Amino acid sequence: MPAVQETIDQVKTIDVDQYKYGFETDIESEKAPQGLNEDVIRFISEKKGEPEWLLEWRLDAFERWKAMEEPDWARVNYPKIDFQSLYYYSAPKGLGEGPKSLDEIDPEILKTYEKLGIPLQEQEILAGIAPENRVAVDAVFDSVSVVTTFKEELAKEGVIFCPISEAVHSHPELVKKYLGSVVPLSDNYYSALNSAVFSDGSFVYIPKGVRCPMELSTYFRINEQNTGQFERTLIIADEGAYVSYLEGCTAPMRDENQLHAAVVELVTHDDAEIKYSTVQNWYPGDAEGKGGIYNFVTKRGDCRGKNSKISWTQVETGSAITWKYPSCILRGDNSVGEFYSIAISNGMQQIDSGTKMVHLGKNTSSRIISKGISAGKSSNTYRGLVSAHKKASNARNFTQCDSLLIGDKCGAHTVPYIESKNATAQFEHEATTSKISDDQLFYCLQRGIGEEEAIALIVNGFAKEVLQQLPMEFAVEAQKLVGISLEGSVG
Amino acid sequence: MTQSNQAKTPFEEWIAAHANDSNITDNAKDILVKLADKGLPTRRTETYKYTDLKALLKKAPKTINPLIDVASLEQIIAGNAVQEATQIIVANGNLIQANEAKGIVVSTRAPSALPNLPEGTETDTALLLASSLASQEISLNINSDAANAEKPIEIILIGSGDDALITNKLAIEVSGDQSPEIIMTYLTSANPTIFSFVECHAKSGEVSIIKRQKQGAQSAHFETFVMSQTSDATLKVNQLNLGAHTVRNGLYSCFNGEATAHLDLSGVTIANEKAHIDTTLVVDHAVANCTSEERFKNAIGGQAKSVFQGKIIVQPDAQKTDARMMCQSLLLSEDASVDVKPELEIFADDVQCGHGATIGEMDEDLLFYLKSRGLPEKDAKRMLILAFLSENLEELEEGIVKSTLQQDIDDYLNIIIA
Repeated sequence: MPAVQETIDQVKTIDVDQYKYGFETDIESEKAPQGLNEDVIRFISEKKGEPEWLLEWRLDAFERWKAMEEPDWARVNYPKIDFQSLYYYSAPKGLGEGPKSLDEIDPEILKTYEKLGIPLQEQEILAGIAPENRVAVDAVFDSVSVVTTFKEELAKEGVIFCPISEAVHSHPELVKKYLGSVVPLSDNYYSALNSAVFSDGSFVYIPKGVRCPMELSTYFRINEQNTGQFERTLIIADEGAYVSYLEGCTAPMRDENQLHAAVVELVTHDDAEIKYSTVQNWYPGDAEGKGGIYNFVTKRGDCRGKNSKISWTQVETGSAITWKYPSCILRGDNSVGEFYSIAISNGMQQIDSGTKMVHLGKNTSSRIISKGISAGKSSNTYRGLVSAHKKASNARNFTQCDSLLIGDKCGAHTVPYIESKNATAQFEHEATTSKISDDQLFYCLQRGIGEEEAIALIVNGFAKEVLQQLPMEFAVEAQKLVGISLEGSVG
Repeated sequence: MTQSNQAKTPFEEWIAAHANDSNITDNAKDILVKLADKGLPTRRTETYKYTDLKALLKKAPKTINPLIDVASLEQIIAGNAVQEATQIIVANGNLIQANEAKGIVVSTRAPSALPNLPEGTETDTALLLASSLASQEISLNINSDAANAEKPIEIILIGSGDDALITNKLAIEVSGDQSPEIIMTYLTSANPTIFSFVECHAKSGEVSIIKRQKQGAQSAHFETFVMSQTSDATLKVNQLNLGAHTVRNGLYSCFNGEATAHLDLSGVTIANEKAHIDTTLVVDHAVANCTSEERFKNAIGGQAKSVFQGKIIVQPDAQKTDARMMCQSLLLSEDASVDVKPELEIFADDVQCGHGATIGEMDEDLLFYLKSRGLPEKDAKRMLILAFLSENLEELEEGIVKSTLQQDIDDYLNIIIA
């Protein structure tokens, strides 16, 4: 298989513990005053020229957040975050008011994206991809969106793809209707914080019956020191619409921890489908666990309409701590939820991630495939909920979560919650944990494949079910990541 | 957490009042004061997420371990005991009769202090209440002089009395190479709430412990079963839950021997009406080379609710562990519900661990097959449920115990399906 060979090559060229996106862009920035209070929220809102209702909404969220307690149920340990020592807004100078044309953007920023391999020129395409497989990109740098490509072409189809700060002005009725309708203000500690201080993110609206002509993607980059990134993404697929959305993220290597608390809301109406893929590659910290991103994210999709579908695919390799449960509320009859995940933890990383499939409508079905790989001294937890409510007759779920441990200093945990209040619901759950089989390893070694390559090969086979679900552009990237993350795992 | 700020229920107030009783030991007082202060666990405590004990146990008991006359004992036992077994009778927490045989020693003493608690039992109400309020600690010792598994040993634990609180504290220790079958049969009259704390230590051989919970529909049952195994002992625990409106079975196992040991845990639950049946277990593999298997089957009808929380822990040193856990639930009615949480917590890499859970209703095709062959619907259903549940008895040796258990299930199903 050529893809696997590619992984093996990738493993060879990159050194142990080398996070290749760890560089820093030296650029002047404009920040909000340090700390968190009403004035900072007013500052952010004013910077973005927001309408009064949104400012009220933010302040309401802030009030609720103050009354909430930081959750402690996840299997992660970290020193208490001092929320007053952070900067809640940071934008490259001159970009405060949102994206402009490419010519006006600081060449340093353009260079950053070039280095990261993100095409911001519309004529550019990802290496090795046929021209028809174009990807529209929204690039978010710290707290602002730098540029959004292919906007005009998408607009021809009626597709709205723009930074959310722009959508507040251009499509206030849509933002007002859907913002916070899936993840309410006071849903949880971090979503409330996000609602109060969210900076930028993408807004997508696919009108009735439209199949989005290209993949949409957002690339998040944290650059500034001591800042948190609080992006907000809202995707709406109207009746019969389809969209595939990709998300990528990286950050520089720093000794201190940085906070990333995002909220992603998806809404599908009748017969609509959203496919949401993430390759999460935030800086994971060094081998001793110094630095790295705290990734506390709330992602939820609401299958509001009949026959609608939401599919989450995630490849988690980065972040010092991951706390993330992309979920599906299967409200519409016959709606479908899917969750495919590979979570790879190395070094001192801690992952507590999984999904929630809440079956409310009739004949709803969901599928969960989760693969966790722990290496080094990391801890990797799958935490998931599958529930069928009283009216969810004929609900179906199949869950498979497998864990692979590499080395004897790491931990793998599975915490599934399965709740059924309807007799016609059928739930199946299975999970296994094992180490790389000696037989498989021997088979590879005996055929002349080096130990490290053999492990990458076996792990790729193990993770293949998930990788197959990724859009092609990301599948290639993700296979490389699987290789990189396991670097140095064998003695 | 704000548990202590919530209004105290009559049951909690009863505990607080009892802590001031001059008759109890300092040790018991200590436990009760803490318990009264913290209150009973609610959904906020993770291990009680699906069983809100504060809400389920509100009523204050009228009496604790009341005296019981022999005539009524016989009435309760009649027809419920295992034939041919060596009987040990415990009524309302006190040893009444012990038919000792060679190598089987039954003794009582004042309750001892709390042992080192295994993980997950810090908030275990049955353990804490039984430890502090038991009138005596009953120990059953089976040593190498015992004749090899000739007769099963049956401990009949009886609870009786209007709104009575019954506490049992029991310690079972088996040494020697025999393979005894020990049965614990729970029976009740009136509406007592039974709290039992059972410790079982298997030092060698193959020990089989079977619980037959056949309490009346008005009673409640809380049992915490803490087991430990050393060297190459095999422990088989089978639990039948066929009664009581509120049940919590806590099963805590720890492997601390050096050589291979095997644990086999299985359970059958049939619940009806508004019963709430919770099985919570923790299997802690602390040492290498041990194996464990857990199989639980539930058939839930009426508006009953079944809860299964299982956790397998594999500690860093427990290499070559093989642990399996399976919980299957069959929902028999529209209003029945099931909550399952099969957890794995793994810190060693060279292990095999698996867990599975299924929830569903009866297969219509199977039912149709039987009906098309002339079986009335009721009989066809009964046959399918029986087939589903009996799988968990297959591991048992053929004999009087197995056939009694089969009969127990059969009898209870007849009541439920009618």
